Amino acid sequence: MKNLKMKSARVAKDLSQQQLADLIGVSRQTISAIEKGDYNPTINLCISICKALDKTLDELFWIE
Amino acid sequence: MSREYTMGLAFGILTALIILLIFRKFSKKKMKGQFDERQELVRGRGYKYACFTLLGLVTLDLLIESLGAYETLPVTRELALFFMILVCIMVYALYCIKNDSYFGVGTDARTYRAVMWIVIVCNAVSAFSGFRSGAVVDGKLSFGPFASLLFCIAFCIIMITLTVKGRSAADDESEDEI
Repeated sequence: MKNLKMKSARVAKDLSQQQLADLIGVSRQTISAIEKGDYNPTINLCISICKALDKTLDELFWIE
Repeated sequence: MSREYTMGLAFGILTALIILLIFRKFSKKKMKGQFDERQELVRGRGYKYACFTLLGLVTLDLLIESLGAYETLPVTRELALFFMILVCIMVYALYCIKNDSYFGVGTDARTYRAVMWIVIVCNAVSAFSGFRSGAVVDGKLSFGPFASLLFCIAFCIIMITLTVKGRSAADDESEDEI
């Protein structure tokens, strides 16, 4: 399932995938895979993404 | 393989290792070469597929050997085993390239590509000079030039795949960006 919340949070912060990837120390393809729903990140990576985007885990990764 | 060839091979590997160590020691920018968690996962899967491929090919080699088929085939067992090892490397490399896990985060891909092209050219020269001195010995393809040729072909395939993947990744990037 696509993670549109994460993509919109990234766009809201005016960050490209590469910029976000550089911030958290992963490859751009990993960010792309998470946004597309092709890869489920570990909790550590989720936390890093949340910190970089100033969001909580619930706001980005909780599926309702 | 003749003793001179084996010595030459050992010397070549040793020289390459020394050059690599010197390069790493004096490189201004430290080679990061670290992989993120998704890449580690993909590389692990790649190792698994390469391992299963090797198991299959070794079984095939044992079958050919037990049937005595190497006597009739135009290749030596050494060359066949070398080919099998290359196939496993290819399985691993191509799987990693396909899943964007061949280069680590922050790896200088251009330097790596330049080194790869040098390796390809060196092997092409080695294969060419080997063919000039005789490609077939006692009805069998000689190991030296054909091993270099196979190595050259394998690395060319890897480089072509890297180029194609690089282009499609660039398209993907422009689609995904803000």
